[in-house]
Amino acid sequence: MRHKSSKLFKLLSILIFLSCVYYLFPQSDRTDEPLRFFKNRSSVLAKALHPKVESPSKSEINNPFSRLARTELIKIYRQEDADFEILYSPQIKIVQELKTCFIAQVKSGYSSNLSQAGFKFEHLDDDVKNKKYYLVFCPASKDVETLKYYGDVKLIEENLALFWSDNKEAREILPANFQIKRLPSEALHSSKKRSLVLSEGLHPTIKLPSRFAINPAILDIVNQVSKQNLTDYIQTLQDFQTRFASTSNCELAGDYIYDFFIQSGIDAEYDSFSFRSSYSSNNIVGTVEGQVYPSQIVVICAHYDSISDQPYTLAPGADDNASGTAAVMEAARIFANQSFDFTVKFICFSAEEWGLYGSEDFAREARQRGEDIIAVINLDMIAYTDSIPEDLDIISNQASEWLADRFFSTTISYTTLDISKIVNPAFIWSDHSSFWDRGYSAILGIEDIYISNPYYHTTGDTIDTLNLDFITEAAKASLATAADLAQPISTPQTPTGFTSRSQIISSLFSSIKTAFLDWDSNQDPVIGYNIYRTNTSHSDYQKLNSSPLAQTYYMDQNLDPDTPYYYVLTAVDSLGNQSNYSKEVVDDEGNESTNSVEGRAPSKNMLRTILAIRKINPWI
Amino acid sequence: MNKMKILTRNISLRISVCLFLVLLFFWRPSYLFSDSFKLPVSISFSFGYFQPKEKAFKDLYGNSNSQLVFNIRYVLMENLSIYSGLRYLSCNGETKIAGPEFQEEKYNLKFTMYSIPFALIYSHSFKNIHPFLGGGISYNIYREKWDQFDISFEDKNLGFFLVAGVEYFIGKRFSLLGRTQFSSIPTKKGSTLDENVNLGGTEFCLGLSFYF
Repeated sequence: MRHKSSKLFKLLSILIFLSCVYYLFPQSDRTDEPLRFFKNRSSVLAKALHPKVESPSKSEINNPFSRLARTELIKIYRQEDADFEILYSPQIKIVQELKTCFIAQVKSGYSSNLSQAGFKFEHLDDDVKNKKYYLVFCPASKDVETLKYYGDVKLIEENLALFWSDNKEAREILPANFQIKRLPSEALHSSKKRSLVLSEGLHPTIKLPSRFAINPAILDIVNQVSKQNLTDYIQTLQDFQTRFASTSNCELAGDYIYDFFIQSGIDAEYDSFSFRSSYSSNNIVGTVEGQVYPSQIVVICAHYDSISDQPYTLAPGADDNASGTAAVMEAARIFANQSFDFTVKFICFSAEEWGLYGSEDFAREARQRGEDIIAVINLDMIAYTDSIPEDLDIISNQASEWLADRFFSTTISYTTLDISKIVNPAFIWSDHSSFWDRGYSAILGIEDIYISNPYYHTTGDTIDTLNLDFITEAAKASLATAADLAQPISTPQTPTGFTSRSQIISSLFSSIKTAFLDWDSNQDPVIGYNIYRTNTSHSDYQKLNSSPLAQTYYMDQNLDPDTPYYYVLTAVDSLGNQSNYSKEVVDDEGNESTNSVEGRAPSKNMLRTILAIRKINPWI
Repeated sequence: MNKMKILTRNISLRISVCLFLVLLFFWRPSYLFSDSFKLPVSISFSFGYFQPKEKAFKDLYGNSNSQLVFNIRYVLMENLSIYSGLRYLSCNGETKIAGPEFQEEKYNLKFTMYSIPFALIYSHSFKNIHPFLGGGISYNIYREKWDQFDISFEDKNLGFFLVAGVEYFIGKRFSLLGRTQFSSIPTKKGSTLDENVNLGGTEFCLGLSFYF
């Protein structure tokens, strides 16, 4: 008996010893070991947990598509539980964000890694070489069948199809009633601040912000909006007969807008671009430079080109989009006599009807130049009312929701217009979409998200079909929002030189962040400064200090290291008057320009926060 | 009133523990310490230092930290025994800046860890010298606290270790103890400084064992 128990103990001791030795090996050496035992049963699970992603070479990182024999076009479904880091692989180029998916170019054969990472995807086309792709709005089920007559079609999601016909321009082969957007060939812009996959759901309801205190300067701007002027602009634009991009009349319409900007007293320029390899056209850009932060830009824009079923001879485009253009021209006329903290650009784009060529060119170059465009208000079809009272639909993506809310606040403060806010990143049928692609906040103002104008893209789209009271209110709301964003000069003066840097302080299991803010001393006599902070850019600012700060610096401690914090600053004079907000800074904005003691990669947790794909709720 | 009750209860508990220890060591019934009777149990107290293997741990709390270990060992058979006990590690440190640094900013830290080991030991005797070797698992409860902010982190994790040492008998029931231990306590938790902290390391201890 004793002999038996002795053997048992020996066996037990050997087993325990071996298990100790096994587990004392470094973690990385045995990562796959436990899975080996289950491999026969659940090899799929094992692969999903540990996808072996091919590491790119250095040259590939610089130019990932350089050695590709073939590049496929695929549709990647948004999925909460997938290993989203693979989307940032150099072999994958996401070119379009939509409601339920992304469209991406991917190296041939690489797409299998997506399924290993847990993504569902679908092949759209095997080789993108020498093809022009377009996204086409297909509200009716028969639209897809119609498209098939002209070329290849893949239904991407509800009401949206991908269309291509080799290298042909869709605008030249498709009927005029189709809304199109050329599929970008460049990867979407993403950054810490504006991540392309950061989607927190689609909110059809409006977050009701409080009514703003009326700013007399903005009220004065709103009161200057003239219904007669708007009517005149629309009539003049309609009188060009057609403004179809590629026609000489379109260029004449561009000259008219350019001359108008000059006569109004603002700087104006032609921004030329080419499309369809042989055509060129001009965006017309007017600028009122900001007095305090000229590098911060607010854009109010509309496309001035038009289309109809007879585009080369008659395309009056009164609603689409002389109406939006008229509002931009009226803004330029009124803003020319005002001074703002931030720069305001008035842009009339061309070739929108060809697939957003003008705005795509402008937004891409703005991003390349590193322009800090705070907000884009795009107006497209704001004068037709199918019912009274009509409301203006404000369309935004998730990153631009703050701007839609801001538009709502200023509208209820300064006008009698009704607003509907719609968050839908798949509504890409106007120039705001080009700015979304480049990571800027942008909204679209449109009379109805689903086209209600029976004269849409026809020769019947004339001024006599429009509701000029509605466009006047829509223009007032747009100008009020643009002025509110650009901030008419205040007393005391808006503080300048506002910068922020942040550092992360860590223990073994916890980290905190400290933000160091500093700014220039105000020229005007002030008693101090107020600091405001928010977690969501441009909205919900909370004051941090109880009484005005006498010094020109502030240290904000004990912050969550994985959360970006945005700050603005105001100056306070002896009468208690508060200046406009300074430009907004994010806590680590100044980090890059300062030599760090030690560079470290961001933590996985931080990366997850940046890239997190949240579950998308069904859209209205 | 309640505080008084708690205080009284705590004092009673401490007195009871002390009494137990006194009885254990100094109340020597003759039958227990007679040559004919020997319990297969020993207890040991040792004191030494712990050298963490994690760089982040070293950066925050220094290269070595003192610790106190109590073990109770039960002899299963001639060369084989099991042991358990309690290890207490406490250290003070300072935070580090992870990433870009713009201004010196340090906060005081306190780290404490209690470990309960369960191990199997193989020992061999060469006259008075008894070298031993073993391994096992440990249950670890640890806490990290910041002084200036209300930040603390507590968790529990299993760890694994190998232990080796030697006992030198200075009497029938007493031996001097020297031991070293290599442990791994993967927490799979961390901070910006290190995402997967391992609380293991190397321990060196000297102490005294008593055989009943």
